Amino acid sequence: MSTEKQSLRRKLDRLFVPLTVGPTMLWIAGIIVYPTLKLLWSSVFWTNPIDGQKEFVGLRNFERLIFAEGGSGTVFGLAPDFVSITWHTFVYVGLSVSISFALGLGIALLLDKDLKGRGWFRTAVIVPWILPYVMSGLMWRWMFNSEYGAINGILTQSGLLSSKIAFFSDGTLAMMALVIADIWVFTPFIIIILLAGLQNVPEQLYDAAEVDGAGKVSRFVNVTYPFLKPSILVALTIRIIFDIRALDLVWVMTQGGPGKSTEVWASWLYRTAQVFNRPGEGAALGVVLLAVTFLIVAVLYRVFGESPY
Amino acid sequence: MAHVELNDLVKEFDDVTAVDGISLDIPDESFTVFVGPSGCGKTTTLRLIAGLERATDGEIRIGDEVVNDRRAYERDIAMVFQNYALYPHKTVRENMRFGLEQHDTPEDVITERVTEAAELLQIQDLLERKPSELSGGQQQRVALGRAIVRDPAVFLMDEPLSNLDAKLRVQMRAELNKLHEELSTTTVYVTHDQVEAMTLADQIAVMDDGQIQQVGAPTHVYSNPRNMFVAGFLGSPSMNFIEGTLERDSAGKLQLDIGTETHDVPDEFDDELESYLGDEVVLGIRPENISLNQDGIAANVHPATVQVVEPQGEKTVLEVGLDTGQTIKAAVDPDTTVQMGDSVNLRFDRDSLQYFDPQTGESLTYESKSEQKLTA
Repeated sequence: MSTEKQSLRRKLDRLFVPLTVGPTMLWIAGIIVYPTLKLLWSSVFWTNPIDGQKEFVGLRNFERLIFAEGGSGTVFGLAPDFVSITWHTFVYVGLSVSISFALGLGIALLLDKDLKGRGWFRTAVIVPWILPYVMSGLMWRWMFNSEYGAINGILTQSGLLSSKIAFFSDGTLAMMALVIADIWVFTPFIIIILLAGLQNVPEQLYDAAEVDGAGKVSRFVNVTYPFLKPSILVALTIRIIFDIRALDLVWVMTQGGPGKSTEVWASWLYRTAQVFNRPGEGAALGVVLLAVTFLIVAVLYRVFGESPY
Repeated sequence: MAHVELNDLVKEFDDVTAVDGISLDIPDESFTVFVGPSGCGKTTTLRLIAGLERATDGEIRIGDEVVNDRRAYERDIAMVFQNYALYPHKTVRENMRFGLEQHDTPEDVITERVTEAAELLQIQDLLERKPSELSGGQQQRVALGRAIVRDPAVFLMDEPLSNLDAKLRVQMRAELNKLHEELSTTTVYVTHDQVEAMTLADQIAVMDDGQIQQVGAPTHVYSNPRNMFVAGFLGSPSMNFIEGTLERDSAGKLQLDIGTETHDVPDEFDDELESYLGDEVVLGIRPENISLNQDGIAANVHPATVQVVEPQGEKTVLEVGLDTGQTIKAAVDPDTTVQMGDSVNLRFDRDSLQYFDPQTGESLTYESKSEQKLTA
């Protein structure tokens, strides 16, 4: 091979990595790095809603949202809205994720067994997840409707209730309706991820555990769980992120109401930035949301991040 | 220790009969090997003994008790799996302890047994490592260790060496032999590797199609196969089969017409083969029982042409074409100078000839040869 060809080849070799990885890096920079920086940047500005002029305000957006400026209802110096909305978010995410996880794990374990009609059920179970969230929200809003809703219909016709309930007029019931809808929508996702994880457990380990005399619980703890951990990590991480930033279901079903009783971070953020036209505060909320999400993911990685091997 | 007895054992999976009515007595302290091709039912049989599958029919006895309805851990067995089946997230020590912990064994007993087994298998230095940090051979030792600490009545081993490289397999084979010598625990071993079967077993059970084709001491089964399947399965290269018509020559002696030539049948088989006169019979001869005849034409010497020469170190395998058109293999002296295309004369060792019924595959001379062996 001539020296010229060799040097061209070397040049191409050097360019190979930048050429192949470069576009992906640019893409990541465009969809992750830039918006994140923009969010951080926006969170320290106040935008005049009339003329759009921006004014640097430092951390005042955070202060205004998180800390109370005197007045009644403050909790440890924190703003009442921040405290109550954080609590709603905690209840909404906590209940939805934990119940759908427990349900999803149970169903995944069932579907992993050699049951009749398993294939059909595996397909059917995905349906709620593939529906657009807005559609699911609309459907559940109708289901819980105080006049024509199916839930009220079933409860009154079966004699469990004497009169119909206005689910969306009571904060607790509205939150319950949201949680139920969320569980319905997202449990299939947990099932699919955990079912994939269950397929990774080597069958021989169950045999070995059986020969070793491990009972059902011991088999789950010592064989299934270590192999399921990576899937649990994926399922919980994605599930929690989805729920923390879940706007569709909340907005379509309750719009944060009645009052602010089902207002969660995502709907608060949307309302602040888009409805009240205060992008700076919205961005500040976004930063808080991002930080909390990071924290939760870090904890999840710590608990479930260990490979079975 | 315990003996194991299988009585008319059947296992069906939907429409497939994996184990088809096998009966076998596995003596106490013996090393019994189930050998056969893939899908012959040997692993299913082992899993039935282990309690990992439920028998459709028949009886399994371990010791004096019928164990059909007992769970695996109630059968006093320990199993070594093909892929070792070590718990990957546990250390070697934890792997070995696990079975004992499940049986609420006292801590001091667990520690003592793990230490003893680790010493026996020379894995003391590996106890704190995880399986992923071990080589295949070391993992295999740990799998054995996990079985040994249980001090079971029966060891069940499902192709435990098949994932090791050739050299390690030979080494582990020797160690398994030594281990059995030391522990004397009844062992049931499954393999598709006939060399493993021959070298390890006191008793070999050759399986095909869900049935035991023959049981016996390895050398006996090798030299006195009951049927063409056993004859062909054991031995590498496998036994040559030559089909011919049985007839009598002018002197009244039995001979096999194999096409362009004839093969004289030794007189001692007269009684067994008499009834096959005029019928097709298969002659079986192992490659190592064929030699190159240097003395010109004699009885049972067949002219042939060398087609392939495969030097294998301790022997040279020749693929030769008989004048009848059939190709057979001969394992000859490694110093042979024959080359491809050479014409040679093959001599079949008279004492090693086998005759089979081509329809049933059954050996026609099995009884007679077994008797000869006993008399000798």
